Amino acid sequence: MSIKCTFILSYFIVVTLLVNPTNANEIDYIVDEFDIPITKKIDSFFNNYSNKSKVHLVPKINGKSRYAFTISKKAYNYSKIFSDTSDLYYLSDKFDNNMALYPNKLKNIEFRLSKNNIKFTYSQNFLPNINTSIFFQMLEQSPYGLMFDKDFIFMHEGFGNLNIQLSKGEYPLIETKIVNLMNKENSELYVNFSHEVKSNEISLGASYTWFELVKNFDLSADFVKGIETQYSKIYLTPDYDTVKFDFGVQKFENNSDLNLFFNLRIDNILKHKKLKSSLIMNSLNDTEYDKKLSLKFLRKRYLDSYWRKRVYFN
Amino acid sequence: MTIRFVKLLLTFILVVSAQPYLAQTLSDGVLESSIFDSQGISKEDIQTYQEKQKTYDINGNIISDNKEVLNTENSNIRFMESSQNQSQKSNISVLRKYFYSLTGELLDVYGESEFKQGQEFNLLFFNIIGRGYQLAPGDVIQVKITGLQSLSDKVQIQSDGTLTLESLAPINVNGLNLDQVSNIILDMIILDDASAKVFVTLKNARLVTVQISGNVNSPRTIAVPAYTPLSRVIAYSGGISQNGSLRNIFLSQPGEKTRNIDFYEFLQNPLPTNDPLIKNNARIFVPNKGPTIAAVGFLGRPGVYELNHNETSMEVSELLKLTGNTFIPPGATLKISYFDQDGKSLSRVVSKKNIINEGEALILDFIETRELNNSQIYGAVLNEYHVTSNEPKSISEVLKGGAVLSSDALTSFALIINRLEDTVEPINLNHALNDDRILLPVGADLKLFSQEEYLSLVNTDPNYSDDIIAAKLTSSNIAEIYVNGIRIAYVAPNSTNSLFGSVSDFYSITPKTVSDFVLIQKSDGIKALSLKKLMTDKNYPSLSRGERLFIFENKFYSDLLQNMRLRSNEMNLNAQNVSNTENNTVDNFETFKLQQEIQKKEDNYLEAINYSRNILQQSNLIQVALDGQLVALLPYKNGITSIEILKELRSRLPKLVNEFAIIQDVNSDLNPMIKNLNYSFDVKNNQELNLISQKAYRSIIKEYELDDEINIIAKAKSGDNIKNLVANIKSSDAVKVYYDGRLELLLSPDYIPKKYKLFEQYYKKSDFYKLYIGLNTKNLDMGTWNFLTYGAEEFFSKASNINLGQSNIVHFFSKDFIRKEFIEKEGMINGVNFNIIANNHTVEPNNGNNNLDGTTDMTVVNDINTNFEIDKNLSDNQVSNNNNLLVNHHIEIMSNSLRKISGSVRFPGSYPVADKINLTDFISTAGLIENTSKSNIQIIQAIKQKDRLVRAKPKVININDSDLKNITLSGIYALDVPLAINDAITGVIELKGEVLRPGNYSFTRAETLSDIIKRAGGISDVSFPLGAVLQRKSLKEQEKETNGILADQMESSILTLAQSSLEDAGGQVQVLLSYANKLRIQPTLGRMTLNILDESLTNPIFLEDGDKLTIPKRPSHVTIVGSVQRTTVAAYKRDKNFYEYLQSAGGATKIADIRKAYLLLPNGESLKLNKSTLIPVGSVIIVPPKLDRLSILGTTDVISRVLGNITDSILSIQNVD
Repeated sequence: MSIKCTFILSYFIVVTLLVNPTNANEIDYIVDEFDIPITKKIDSFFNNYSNKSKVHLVPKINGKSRYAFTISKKAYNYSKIFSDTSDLYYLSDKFDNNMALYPNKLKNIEFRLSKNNIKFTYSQNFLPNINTSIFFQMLEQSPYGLMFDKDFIFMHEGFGNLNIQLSKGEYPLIETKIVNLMNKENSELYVNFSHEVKSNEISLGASYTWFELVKNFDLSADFVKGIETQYSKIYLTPDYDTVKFDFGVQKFENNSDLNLFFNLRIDNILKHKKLKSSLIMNSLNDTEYDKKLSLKFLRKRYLDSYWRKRVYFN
Repeated sequence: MTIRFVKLLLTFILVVSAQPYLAQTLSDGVLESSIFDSQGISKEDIQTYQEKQKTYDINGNIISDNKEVLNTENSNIRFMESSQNQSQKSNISVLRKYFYSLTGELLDVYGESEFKQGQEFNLLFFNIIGRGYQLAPGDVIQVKITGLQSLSDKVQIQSDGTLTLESLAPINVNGLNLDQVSNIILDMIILDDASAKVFVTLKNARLVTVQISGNVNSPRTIAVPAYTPLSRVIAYSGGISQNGSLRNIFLSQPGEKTRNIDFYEFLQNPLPTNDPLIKNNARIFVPNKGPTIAAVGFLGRPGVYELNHNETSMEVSELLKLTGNTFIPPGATLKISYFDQDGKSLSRVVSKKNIINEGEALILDFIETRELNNSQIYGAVLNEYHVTSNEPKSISEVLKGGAVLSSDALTSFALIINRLEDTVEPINLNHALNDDRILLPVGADLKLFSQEEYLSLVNTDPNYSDDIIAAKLTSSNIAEIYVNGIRIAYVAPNSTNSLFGSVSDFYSITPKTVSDFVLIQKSDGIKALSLKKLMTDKNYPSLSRGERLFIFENKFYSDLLQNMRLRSNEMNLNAQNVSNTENNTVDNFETFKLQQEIQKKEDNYLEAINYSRNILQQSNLIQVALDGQLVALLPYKNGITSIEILKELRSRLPKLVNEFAIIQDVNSDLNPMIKNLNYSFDVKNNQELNLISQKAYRSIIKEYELDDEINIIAKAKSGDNIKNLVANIKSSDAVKVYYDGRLELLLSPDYIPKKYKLFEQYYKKSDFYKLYIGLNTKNLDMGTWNFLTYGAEEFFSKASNINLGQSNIVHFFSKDFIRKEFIEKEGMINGVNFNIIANNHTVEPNNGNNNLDGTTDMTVVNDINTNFEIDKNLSDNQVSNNNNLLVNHHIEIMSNSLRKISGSVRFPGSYPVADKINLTDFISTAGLIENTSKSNIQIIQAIKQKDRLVRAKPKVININDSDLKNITLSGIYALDVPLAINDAITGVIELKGEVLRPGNYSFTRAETLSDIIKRAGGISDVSFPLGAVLQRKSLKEQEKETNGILADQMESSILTLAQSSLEDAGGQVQVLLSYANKLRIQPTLGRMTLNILDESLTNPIFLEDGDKLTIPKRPSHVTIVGSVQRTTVAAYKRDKNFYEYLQSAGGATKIADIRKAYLLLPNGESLKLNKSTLIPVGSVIIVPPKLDRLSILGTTDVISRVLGNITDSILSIQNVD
C-alpha cells in the first residue's frame, strides 16, 4: 500500500514539475551564461537602459542560479575608472534571488570508466527543459539505452531531478533526486529515490556532505539501499575548479570489508565551448552514484569565487 | 551914644543866642551848597565819594581813611575844603545874621562890596594927572625937546628935587607942576634955539606911603601911587571889615586938617571931593561901625545901612533914597520890623515921614498883579503873544487856525493854564483846532509844547519839580501813557474817539511792543487788555481822567518777567549787572562819576521794573511760564481756556509736553495741579500756567528722581527754575509713571490711560511688558496706598474705566526686566509656583473630547492664601520716603502671580501677570515661534474645588482664530503652545573629503545620505566610496560602551588565566591587559558601515543630526597586520589573494592562526579570509595569533573581537584623518 502511495505521489510530482515553468528573466537582470565577459554585458545594459541606476547580475552555474548581485551604475562606473572590481564586489548588494533553472543549451558528452563498465553518454536538450541522453555501455544485458531527465525546484533552497531511464533488456527505471542545503549552507542533504517499473524494485539513497570541513575538503557520507546493492561510504572531496575527486571508504552490506575507493571527474576535457565533455573514473563498480545533485556552487559564499572568475575588466 | 551902642550890642547877643541854630544851619547850608555848586559837584556825590575812600576790613569796620591819599592826589578836593573853612570863618557877620533874623533875608551891607573889587598894584595913577600935578622926588617924567637939538629922555626927579637933563644944568622941580617945568626948560634952551619946543609929561608918579588902621581887613602901611583916592587905598587894605564904619573914616594928611569921610556920600554922590586923594604920609583910620538899619522888600537895593555919624535914627524917606527907591508903588505898604524888648519880632506900618531907628528894618511890601482877562499864548509859537478878551475864544481862533505854531510844535498836546482857578487842562491840539467847541477860558494861558519841551514835562517828576505846570498836571484832568514803567505821555482824556487813537499819537506800536497785553489803571483797579484786540477795536473808549495806560516792550518785558517773582532786593538785570560795582578801587573821579551815572540809570530801571511789577500784580493777568521761567502774561477774561492761551502763544513756545502742565494760584498756598493740554480747561484769574518743554521735561524727571524733598527745597531757594519746578511738582497731584522702577513720566491726573499720548511710546514699544501694569492709588482717608494690577489690554482700552487719579503711580515694566527678574531666575522664586509640566500630547482644536488625564501634572507648591501674604497697603509716609518700596512690592506681587507658558515660544517660563490679561498679549510676550508651533494653544486652568486646586478641562484654541484677541485670561492657568511636527530640518550633516562641495548640510526628516551627497555635487573621481566613514554620535557612545564591555570581559578572562599554571601565562596576561587598556582609551568614532553609492530606496540611509561623512581619497595599499613577519602596507594589486598578500608580509609567523585570519574592509566590515576572498584596496588583513592555550579559557573569541575593534578604529581614524 505504502509503495503504491509512493508511486502515485511520485508521478504526481512529475506531472507537476513538468508544468513548472523555468525562471522568466526580467529586464533588470543579467544572467551570466559564462559566454562573454560579464562586464561587457553590464556595459551594454547600462548603455541600453541609461535610466537604470542598477542592474542585477545573476550568476548561472550549471543551468541554475540562486544568489545574485545588485550592481549600482555609479559603483560600476567608479570601478571602471580603476578597472578594479574588487571594491565593486563589496559595494554591490548580494541577495537571494531564489533558485532558478535554465535550459541547458550545451551538448554534453561523458566518458565513464569503472571497474566493470565503460559508458559513453551523449545528452542534450531535447524538448524544452527536458534533457535527453543516449548512452552506450559495455554491459551485455543492456548495451544502450535512453534517458530523460528534468530538473525541478524543490522547496526554497533545493532542487530536484526527475529521471526516466529506458535501457535495453531492463525495465524502465524512474528516479527522483533532491538536494537541499543545510546548516547555514555549510552542508547539504541529498536524497534519491528510484523505482523499476514492473519489477516493483525500489531503491533509496541519502548523502550528507559537509562543505570545506577541513581546508577545502568536503566530507560526504552516503547510504544506499538499492535494488541490487546496499552500501554505505564516506569520502573526502577536495575542491578544484575543473577536477572533482572523491576518495574514501565503502562498505557493502554483504561484505564486512571496507573498500577504499575513489572517483575522479575531469570536466571540459575537449575544451570545446559548446560541448561539455567529462571523463569520470570510478575505482569500484559503476554505480553512477556520483551523479548526485549538489548545491555547493550555488551557495552565497561561492559568490566571491564567481566574482573572481567572471567579473573583471580586461 | 556909647551906652546906646552897648545896648544895641547886647540886643544883638541876645538875638543871636536865641537863633543860633537857625543862623548856623542856614549859613552852613548855603555855604556848602554854594561851594559845591561852583564845582559842579553835588554834596551827595562828595559824601558818597568820601565814603568810598574808606577801606573796610572783613567785618565792615573802617580800617583807614584814605583822605591823605586823596589830599596828595586830588588838589581840587583840598582846595574845596580850605575854601569852605575860610568862608565859614569870615563871610557872615553878626550884623547880617541879626537882620536875617529880623527880615528873613540875608542882606548885604550897603557899600561893602565897593572895596571888594580887585586892585591892580601896577597902576600908576588912579586919576588923570592934571597939569597942576606937583612934582616931587621919585616922579619919573618924559622930557622931549624939538628944535635944532632934539632930545627925548625919561628922567627921575632926584631926592633933592632936582631934574638933571643932558646938556642942561640941574633944575629944581620940587613942588612945580609939569607946565612950570616945561617953561623952565624952554627958558633954558630958547636962547640957543628959538625954534625949540619942550614937552614934559609925567611917566611914572612917585609912590606915597599911607598908614591905614582900624577896622580894615588888613591894617598896614602901604605905598600907593601919589594921588590915589581914599576908596582905593582902603581897597588895598582888603576893604573895611565887618565892624568897620563906612560913614566915619578919619583921614589925616600932612598939611591938612583931619577929615571925617562919609563914604555914603561917595556912593551916592559923584563928586570927587567925596573921595579925597591921598598924599604922602597920609593916615587913615576906620572906626567901628555906627548904628545900622535894614531895608528889604520891593526896593532897589535891599541891604543893611549905617546911620549917619552920631545918629541913631533916620527918616524913612531918606532910607528909601539910600536904597535907590524913588517911589512907592500903588498898593505897596511900608512897615518896620523890629525886635521888642523881649526879643520878639514885631512890625509896624509906617509912612515915609516916620523915623526908623537903629536895629530896625524897613520892609516895603508890594503885591504884584496882572491883567486877568489877558491870555498868554506861549511855548511853541512863532512869537509869544497875548490875547485879551472878555469872552472865551475857541482855541482854533486863538491860534489862528494853527498858523502861529512853530514848526516843532506838538499838536497832540497842549495845556490850558488857568491861573485864576489854579488849574491845568490838557487838550489835544489837533482835536481842538478842528473843534470850535473847545474854548480858551478868559484869562487862561495856552501853553504849547515843542517835542522837546513836552518830553521834558513828561519826564519831570511832579513831586520834585519847581515847574508849577508839572506839579499841577497830576491833579488835573489828565491821563498818562507809560512805556516800560516810565511815563512817556500825558494825554488829554477823551480827546479821541478810541483808546488806540490816544495811544498812536504818542506811541507807535513796533515789533518790540509786547502785543499780549496792555494795562489800564482805572479808579476801580487795573485791567489787562490784549493790545491786538485794542488795535482792532476802534470803539474802545479812550483814556479818561486819571487813567494810566501801561505798554511794555520786549526787552523790558523780558526783564520784568524774570524779576516778577523775586523780591525787590533780589532783582537783577542781566543786561546791566555787568557794571563793576563790586570793585572798591576807583581809578579816578571821572570813572567814579561814570559809575554813579550807570548806577543811577540802573536804579531807575529797577525802579521802573519794580513799579511795573506792582502794577502787574494788581491786574487781572494770567501768568504763563515755560519750564518755570515766566514767559508771558496774558489778560484774564472770564472763561478763558488753556486752548486759547496756547493759541495766543503758539509761535513763541517750543515743543511742549502736552500731558504735563502745572497750574497754580499765584497768590495762594494751594498745591499746584497738573493739567493735560490736550484737553481744554479753564484758567482762572491770577493763576500761573506753567508749560513744560520736552527738553525740560526730561530734566524734571531726572531731578525729581535724584533729589529727595529736603534737597529740592534747599536747592529751590537757589533760584534754579527746574529745581523750583520739581519742588512744586512734589506737592502736586501729578501721576507718576515708573518704567522698570525708574521714573519715566509725570502726567496730569483724571484721564483714562488711553488718552495719554505719552504712554504710546511705551506700550507701542516691542519691549513693553503687557501682562502686568501696576497701579498704586492713594487712599486719601487712610493715607495708605492700594495696589491694583492690570493687563495692557484692559489698561489701555478705550472703554477702560480706569481713571488715573490724583497722585496715582503707574508701574510699567519691560520684557527685558521681567525676563531678568523672573524668567531667568525662575528656580529662585519663592511663592506660588504653578508649574504645568508640558506634555507632548496633541490636542486638536475644537475637539472637546480630548482626555488629558494622566498626561499633565499640575503642581502647586505653596498655597496662595496662607503662606505668602503681601501687605497690600503701605502707608503714605513709607512711600514718600522711598519710591522703591512700591516697586519692590509690585515685584513681590508679581512673584505671586506667575503663570507659565511652555512650548513653541521664544521665552518659555513663568510670567507675572495681572488679574486679567489678554491671551494674545501673553503669547506675544513669550514670543510665539509661529513657524515651529502647532496651530493651536492649550490652556490648562486650575479651579478650586473643596480647598483643592484641580485641573479643569483644557481648552484648545486655534492660533488663527479671529477671536483670539478677545480672549481674556484670569485665575490660575498655564499655556502650552505645542510644537509643530518638524519635517523640514531635522539636523545637519557634515560632508568632508572627496565630495565635490564639502560642508555642512541640513537635511529633512526624509532625506537620505544619497540625497545629501547629490546636493554636495556627488563624489569625486578619486574618492573611495568603500572607505566612506559615517560617524554618528549615538553610535560613538554605543561603541564606547561596547568597547568597555569587551575590555571588562577580557579582564575577567584574565583572572582565570592568572590562576592557571600554564607556561608564560604572565606574559599573556600582560598582553591581554594592554589590549584591554588600549581598547578602553581607544577613541571611538561611532562609525557606521555604509555604501554611499547604494541608492536603493529599500535601504535608505537616513541621517541623524550631527552625522559626519568623510569620503577618503582612494588608497593604493592593503595592510597586513597581526601575526605576520612584518606588519606591512602592501601595494594593492587586483586579483591578488590572501596568501599572496601574506607573502608580501613575509608570511605568517609560527603563532599565526591562518584559519582565523580575517579581512577588515575599508567600510568597516570584516569577513573571514579564504583564498577566494576578494581583497579590495585599502583593506586590512588581520592574522591573529594562535591562542589555543587561551581558547580553553574561552578568551579567543574575546581577543579576536578586541583586536577587531582596535583595528577597526585605527582604520576608521586613518580614513577620517
